[in-house]
Amino acid sequence: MYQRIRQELGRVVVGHDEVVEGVLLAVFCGGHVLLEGVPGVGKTLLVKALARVLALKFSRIQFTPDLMPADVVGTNVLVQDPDGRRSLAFQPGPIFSQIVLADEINRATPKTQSALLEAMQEYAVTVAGVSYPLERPFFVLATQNPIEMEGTYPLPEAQLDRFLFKLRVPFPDTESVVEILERTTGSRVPEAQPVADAQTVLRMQALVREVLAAPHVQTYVARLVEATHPQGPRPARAARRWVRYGASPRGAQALLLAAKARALVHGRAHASVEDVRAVALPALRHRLLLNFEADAEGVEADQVVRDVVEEVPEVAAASAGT
Amino acid sequence: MDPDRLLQAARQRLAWRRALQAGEAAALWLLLSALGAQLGTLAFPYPVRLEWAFLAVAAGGGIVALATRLLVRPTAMEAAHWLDRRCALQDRMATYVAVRGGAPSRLLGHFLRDVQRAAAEVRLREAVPLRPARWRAVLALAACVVAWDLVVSGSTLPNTPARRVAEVVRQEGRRLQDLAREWEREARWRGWRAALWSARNVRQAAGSLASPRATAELARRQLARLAAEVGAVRAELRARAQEQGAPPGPEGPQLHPRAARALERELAGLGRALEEVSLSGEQAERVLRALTRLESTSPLRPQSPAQAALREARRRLRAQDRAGARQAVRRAEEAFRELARLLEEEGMLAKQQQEVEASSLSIAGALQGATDPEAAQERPIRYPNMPRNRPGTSGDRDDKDGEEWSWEGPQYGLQPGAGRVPEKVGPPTPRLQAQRRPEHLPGQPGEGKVYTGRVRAPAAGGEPRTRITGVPARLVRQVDEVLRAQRVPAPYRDWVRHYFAELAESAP
Repeated sequence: MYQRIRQELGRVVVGHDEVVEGVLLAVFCGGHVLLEGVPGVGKTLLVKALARVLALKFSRIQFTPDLMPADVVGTNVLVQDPDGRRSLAFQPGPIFSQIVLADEINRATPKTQSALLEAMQEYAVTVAGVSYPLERPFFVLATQNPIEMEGTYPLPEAQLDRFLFKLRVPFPDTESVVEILERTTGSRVPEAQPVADAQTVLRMQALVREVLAAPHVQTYVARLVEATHPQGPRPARAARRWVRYGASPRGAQALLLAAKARALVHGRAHASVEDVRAVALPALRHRLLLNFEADAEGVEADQVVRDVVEEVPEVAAASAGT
Repeated sequence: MDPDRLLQAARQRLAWRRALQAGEAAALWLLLSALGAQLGTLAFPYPVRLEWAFLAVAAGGGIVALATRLLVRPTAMEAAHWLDRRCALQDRMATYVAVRGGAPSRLLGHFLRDVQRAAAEVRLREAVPLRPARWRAVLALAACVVAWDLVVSGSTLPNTPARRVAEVVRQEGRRLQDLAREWEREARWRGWRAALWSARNVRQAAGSLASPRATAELARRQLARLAAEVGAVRAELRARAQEQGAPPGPEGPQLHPRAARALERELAGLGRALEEVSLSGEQAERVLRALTRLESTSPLRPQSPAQAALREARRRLRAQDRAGARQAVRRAEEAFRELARLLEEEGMLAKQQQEVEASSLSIAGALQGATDPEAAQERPIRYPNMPRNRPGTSGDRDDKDGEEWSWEGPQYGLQPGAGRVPEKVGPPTPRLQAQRRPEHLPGQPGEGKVYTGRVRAPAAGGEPRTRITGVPARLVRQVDEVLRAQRVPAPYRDWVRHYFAELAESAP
């Protein structure tokens, strides 16, 4: 199934293998993704194609500074029935979908951004004291532009923590650009076909949680997260120097769940330390709060995560000893 | 292979692998230490010629480490981790160990089949190799330790204590070689077989000491063995001299060879007198009195062959049997000649033993000074146990004032304030007809170069050039007290003492 989904996505999205894999892992984990990249590299296209391949309901919210929370979650409106009686009826917002593209999420005010919080964590929205559940599966794929920072509102840590992955969408290489030009400037633009549905995705999500994870893999995840805390018992050198606050336990959950999903899509029924290492960067990079020194030195969270992964020993290596 | 059986086998091989590694590491470190100690002898002269001991300790340490490590077997999880890492199993075995007894689930069956497949492809010999990685290094180090002893041992770096000790060893070797050649020549000329054999041994040992690879410790062991051998030959000769009637003493026969020669010469004269055809009665009476005097004054024991022959000669002469008396006198003369030869040969062996012991002492002093400069500075001057004329033998008694001189050991009078100094001018010291020992002028330890002088010319005959002066005992005592109180370094004490002695001499 995974290969078929990849294949269909590959018909539309050129290159970006890591990003595509990251998004799919997040889908199988039931997590949300923050996509970061300059405009025009295919972020929106990827999300649209994904919604089509998975045959899920898709909506797009363009975040602007004047966007209000009600514009996202919906609002009660006054309606008049044929009998002339008036009543308040809930008009669902674009959040009531299965794949929500929150485009340029950092352009909206924190108030509007926080409207997504409940939806992302609880899979429900509350309007005027009434809670409305969202249809499962539900994913938020938010994008943000890393270069135009003026007039933006950086996401608060609490909201960042709710994203399973933060994926950087790089500029495509020359071959990919040529391929994009060939595909998009001709008379026939390729389109992805649906190969799965919501039930398939939900089954995959259930299967991911059954993937085996040995105690030493779990311990490794815990140590990795622990090492990102400069005040912790075993901080990594990079964390001690650059980090103000490390990853949360939710980060550890995300790490292990993503490792399980990766093991599954690679045809294994058990997660390994290698899987954890592979997903550490997208799962942890947005959960580290760097200190002033890191900002001054231009150190990025990616570098800190890489250093932490290199420094924390595998539990197996420590116990085997030879 | 079944995953459980694979894990069991991996545990066993892993235990052996760790044990071998521990043994190899222990041997490696011990051999490295040994080589380091040997390298250290380039600069410091401590004894490390224990290469076989080093090898034995390295092997023993390796075996102990191996056995100790074998007792602690790795757990199944450790073996699983090892296999995962070595065979790129992506934590399959470790997960298997963790979940094998767990509740069944949708993916467990799939996982178990996956593990079965992976375990079947594992080659245990390659996954857990038993051959230690550094065995070549261990063998190379062991070879280096042995090769050091065979080839490089004795090498020293310039301007180091080890080099100074090595120079002393070689000097002593050359000195003993020269002396041994002289002894060999003399022994061959005189027909002393025991002394000749011993001199050859000394020459051979001295040759090995003079070689560039001789070490101080080896030299001391060799010299000690040599001294013991010479001492054994001396003891044999002393026993034979005592059989010939020489009176026994604590350090050998209490008879000087010159005394035996004098008696032999006197008996030869008496023998010639008895051969006179026209020997008058008065002359015969004088010979008889001479024989009686010789018998009574001879230091030999009464039951010795020479004494028996003298008694026989007297008896024959009283019985007017001149021929029998003459034969008896000849027998006595031969007995004294044999005795003198034994004593002289024993004297040469004593000289050899003393020189060997002196060399050993000199090397020991150099070693002590090299390892402890303070000790070298404050060490009292030690002289070898040179043969002294013992009281009671001829020439040792000071007959001029009747005062008996007692032997109080070789260190007598060397310590400041100790001993007695007779206030008189004694007879000039007779020159020894032997080569002088090399003179070492080491200066202060650790400063400057060591200059070594070597005098090969024979000693000058006649009267000593240094004038013998009488020094009052009171002055000597005062000087000794000052030297002790002011802590004058040992090399300068004699100069200070001479300076005050000259002052005393020039004083009115």
